[in-house]
Amino acid sequence: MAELSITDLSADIRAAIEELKARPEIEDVGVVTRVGDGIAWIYGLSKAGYNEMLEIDGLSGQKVTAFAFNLAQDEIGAVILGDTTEVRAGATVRSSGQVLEVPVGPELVGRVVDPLGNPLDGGDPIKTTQKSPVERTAPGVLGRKHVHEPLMTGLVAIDAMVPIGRGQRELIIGDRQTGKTAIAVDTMVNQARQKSGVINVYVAVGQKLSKVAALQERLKREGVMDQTIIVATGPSDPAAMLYLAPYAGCAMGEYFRDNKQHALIVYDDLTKHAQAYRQMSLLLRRPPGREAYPGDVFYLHSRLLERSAKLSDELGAGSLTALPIIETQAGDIGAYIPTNVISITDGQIFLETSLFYQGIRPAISVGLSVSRVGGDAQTKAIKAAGGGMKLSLAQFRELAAFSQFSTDLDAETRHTIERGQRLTELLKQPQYSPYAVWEMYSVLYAANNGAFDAVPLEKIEAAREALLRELKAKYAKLVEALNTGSKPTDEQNEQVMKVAHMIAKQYEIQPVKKEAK
Amino acid sequence: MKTPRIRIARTIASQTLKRGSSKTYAREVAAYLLSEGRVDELDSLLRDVQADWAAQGYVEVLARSAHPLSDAVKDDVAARVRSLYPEAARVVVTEVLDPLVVGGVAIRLAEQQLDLSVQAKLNKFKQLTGSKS
Repeated sequence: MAELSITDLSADIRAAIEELKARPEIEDVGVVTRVGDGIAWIYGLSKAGYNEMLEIDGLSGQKVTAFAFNLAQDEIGAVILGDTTEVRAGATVRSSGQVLEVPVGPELVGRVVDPLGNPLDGGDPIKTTQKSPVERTAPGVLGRKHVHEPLMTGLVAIDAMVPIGRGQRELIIGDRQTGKTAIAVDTMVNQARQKSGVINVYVAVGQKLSKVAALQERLKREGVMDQTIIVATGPSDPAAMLYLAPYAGCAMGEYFRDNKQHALIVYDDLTKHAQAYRQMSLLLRRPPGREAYPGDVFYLHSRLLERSAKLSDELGAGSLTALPIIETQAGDIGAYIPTNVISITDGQIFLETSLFYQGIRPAISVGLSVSRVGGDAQTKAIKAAGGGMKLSLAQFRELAAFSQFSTDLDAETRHTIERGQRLTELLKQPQYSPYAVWEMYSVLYAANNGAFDAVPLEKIEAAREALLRELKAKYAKLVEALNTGSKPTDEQNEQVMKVAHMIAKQYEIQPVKKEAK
Repeated sequence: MKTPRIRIARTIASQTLKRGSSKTYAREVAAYLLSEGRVDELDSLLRDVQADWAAQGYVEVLARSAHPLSDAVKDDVAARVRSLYPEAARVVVTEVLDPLVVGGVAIRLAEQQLDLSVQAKLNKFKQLTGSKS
């Protein structure tokens, strides 16, 4: 046996690696056969993979990025991400060997970026140390934990009746102009107000850029931008960018989820996302199905939303909560995309146009809204005060509709209606003013125990504000105790009721004495 | 599917033992690692190869020292290794000159080492005195 040495073998292999690396590489290349509507058809590159980044030689010498989307037997349909006017038939295409990736990390926080991570806010270039593929597999069964921590929206109607937990997917659904974005934005604002440490990722899919700019300005003013990333695409962006935006935003949110932190992602909205995907699919000659959407439109959203999860303790217990938004037409939640997303998510908040125009804002339909897992995540205080509220409000709505035809009502029915009317008034909340836990609890407890029963409807809002002012000014210890979210003691409840009665008295109707004829 | 490193190491070990020389075979291994994008695994792979050689009766021991070793020392090292691998068909002591060792010798097998160098003793001394302060 000849003498062998591991050091010699090591030196020989290293020398061979260096030599082979220095050689000019044989590249896989393809040729653009036709191009149009943001799609390039490529001959060659038989080894290219799905979602692989391709580089097309542009007219002016610059490289145009595209990604392989249709892998047919003899050609590739690639979606162009750059300037489509640069691409001509006959251009050379190279494969990169890499799937589409976006920069991720804390460096993105406070910035407005496009789906490829390029800054849109005119700020400095973003230098992240990490990148993540836009398409990633969702955590498996063993990597997850049940949703058990609350994600407070600061909106009484939601936190009391359709609570959201960290890691949950709660759909916000409704017609145009019903306050869908407002709910999502208020939730983001509340994360900053309550110092929850949750990082917000707002994904604007085909939103007017003026709206995105206004939102960024508002979030800055509210001090929320410091913990927010905005991924923006406008209506003039190619469909591919609109398609990519939610996946890119999700990858950015996943960074925090996987690093033991908590993140909230808002997809505004997935209707436009599905439409962008439909446009791409039709241009790629994929067979159209119902409403001309391709057959895999369910998978489009299910694989995206499944990435929002509460991770197990072994994986760091981080979470990514998703608030997808869907726009309906004339309140039709039975349409194709709404039913798909309803079945994927863990509940939905349904907003009604009629309620919105009645001045009930947030215009949440109590009957149609539901949270399938959030109850476990509700704080004990809110659970105690809000329990049964959904049912009594639903009863009220039914009775109120019935009572329109009847003038003579029994005392119990009248009481249910009057309590319901007051509760409805108390659940009205202006935008950008989310409530802390103590505020929600005090209002709900006082209302449920009849403290506001004698206050006229038009004075309910003023009475509520007066109650909160009084508690904040004179009962700091009580406020602090209630804010912990643990179940309040009888003594604390008595204190709340004492103040509520005192305030309510100031707003009550003074009985008018009738003179006897 | 990614080929397990242990299987690659086993192939390299048996092929090098069969061919008796690593020069020409190293090129094939280098090309494979480059095409599979596994150049980073080279160090671990070589350790596995060394362990595989030992399992097949060819034990190579790396003796790091600051100065060339005398035949007597080499024989002593070989004898110690032979006691660890009584069934080894062949024990080869490969000298590696390393001035950092200062004095003495550090013996390294695939998965074991015996550090009798002055460098190791100095490090130990530094560690002990450092922990007291």
